Amino acid sequence: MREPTAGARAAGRKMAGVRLLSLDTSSVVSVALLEVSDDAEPVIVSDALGTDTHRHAEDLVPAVRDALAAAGWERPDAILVGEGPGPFTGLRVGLASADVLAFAWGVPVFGLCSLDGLARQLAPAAGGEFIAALDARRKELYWGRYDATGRPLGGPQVGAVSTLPAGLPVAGAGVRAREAELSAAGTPVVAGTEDTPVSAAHLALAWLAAGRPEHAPVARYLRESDAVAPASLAPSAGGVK
Amino acid sequence: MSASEPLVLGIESSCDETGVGVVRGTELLANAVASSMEEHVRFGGVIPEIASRAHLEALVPTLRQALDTAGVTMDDVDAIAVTTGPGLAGALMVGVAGAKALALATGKPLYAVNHLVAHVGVGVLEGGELPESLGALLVSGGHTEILRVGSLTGDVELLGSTIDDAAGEAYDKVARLLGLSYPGGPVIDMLAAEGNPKAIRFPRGLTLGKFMGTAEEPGPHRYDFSFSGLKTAVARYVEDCRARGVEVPVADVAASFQEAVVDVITKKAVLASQEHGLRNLLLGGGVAANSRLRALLAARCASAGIGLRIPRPGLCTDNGAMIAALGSQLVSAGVEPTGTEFGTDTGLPPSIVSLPAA
Repeated sequence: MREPTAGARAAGRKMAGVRLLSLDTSSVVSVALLEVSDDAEPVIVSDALGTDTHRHAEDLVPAVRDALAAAGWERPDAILVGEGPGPFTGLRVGLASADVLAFAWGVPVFGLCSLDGLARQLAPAAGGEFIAALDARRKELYWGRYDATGRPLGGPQVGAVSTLPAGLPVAGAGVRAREAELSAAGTPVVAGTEDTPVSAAHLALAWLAAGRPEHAPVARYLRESDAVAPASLAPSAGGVK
Repeated sequence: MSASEPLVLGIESSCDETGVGVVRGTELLANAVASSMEEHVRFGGVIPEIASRAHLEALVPTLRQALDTAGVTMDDVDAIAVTTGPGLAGALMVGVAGAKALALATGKPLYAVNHLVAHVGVGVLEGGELPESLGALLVSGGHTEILRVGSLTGDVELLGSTIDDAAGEAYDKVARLLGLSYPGGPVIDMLAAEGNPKAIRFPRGLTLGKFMGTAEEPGPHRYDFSFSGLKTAVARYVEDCRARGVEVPVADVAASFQEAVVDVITKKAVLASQEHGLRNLLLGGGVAANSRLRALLAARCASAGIGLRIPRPGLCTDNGAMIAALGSQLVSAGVEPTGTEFGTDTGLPPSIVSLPAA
């Protein structure tokens, strides 16, 4: 799939296609609008990418509002949302917003693994099989394995650098987050992609390339909630009664 | 929009209850609540991440249920209100994200409101407008506060609060010490009925003269609470019983602990009301269901000539109707909506009833 051109963008306005709102909060706040149809290349109408990883609740809805206003859309025909993996609190802002927008507009909402969008964007730079990775904090990465076109081969998973498949180069914002560990392990990285977060536009392109899977969004936490039952509640401790 | 009877939808997600309520003026139309309490039982307290995950799952179903119950659509709604704080950050963020999305999709004005003030505002749903000269005592798993409510929509002052654990939290911790189930409030209340509240003299936190001072020269914590020392005292007592090989008198411990909590709360609430010339008091929060708290507060308010108002239990625990009720009051008072640029504020003080527009 070639990247949309200015000409295609202009032509897209006349196309009778589906107007798609794509959003992702697995890393930064990202909002894109696309026009897609069966018989033409998709048109990226707008593609906004924030820089802050701690302002999802504040910034997401205003970003959607601004994108719709700029495009002159009252509402999209469908919504796509990145399911993560990503830091839980920010991730849920995207999922909760997408669910409620879909409910209120009466339009369908679909989910896709956020790493698929990242891989779609970085596949040309990788030039072969590679790992797309995002910061999972706690010295770990969220990662997935992709082929040279960005098609998923495995994942998503969460783990330390030592758990990555050997020999494959790593791409995406996870590289910057685990720079020291990757370097120490001698893991190759895809230069120039170290700071690339998930873009909602590429999430949409990955979704189209995957054949527009229509499954309802499900948060991909990949980790349990970390809650530990206190010792006093453990069955062995018993009560006083 | 009817300025006197605006139709408002409220969303609450500050702790472990996902609540969506619909209110027309002071009339309750729907109060849908999904609770993740069962999921927290094995931990003996609310686990924020579990609560947050549950909010995401429950948000749209609860929203749909509230609208269905109220028999209205979003087109009918005049405004949306949402809890923006205080509360658990990750939990608040789900409700705030949902409310902002709803406001964007429908074009309805959005109010980011204070959870604590909403516990007072819910009073309008039972008995209409709140009395003048009003104080509020809020007691729950996350809060223990005394407020002066000059005006629900613009003049709320924090008079006192807990400096450590909330009262409900103390109940949960003591229940755990005694090997009782979570939440601790109902089970301790039940057991206390069979025990002697004077069997063990547990400490009354922050009641010494150096903390209280006098009405003219108040001490540093005249209307404040502390329950962590009480919890430690109960723990020591239980350990001591075990060390001596004596069976823990669970009912007496429950009754004596409960008496210590309720004694301080009611005494300070009445004192604060009297010293601020407040002739009415509203009790709110989940612990408002506690039988001893209700009884002792009623008795002490009656002696002091203070009118007491207690909303029914389903409106005292966290819910969306209280958020809608406060939102409705804000609309009627002509307060400007917040817009959609705001974030959550886990420590929002009660003096901020709703966030101003950015």
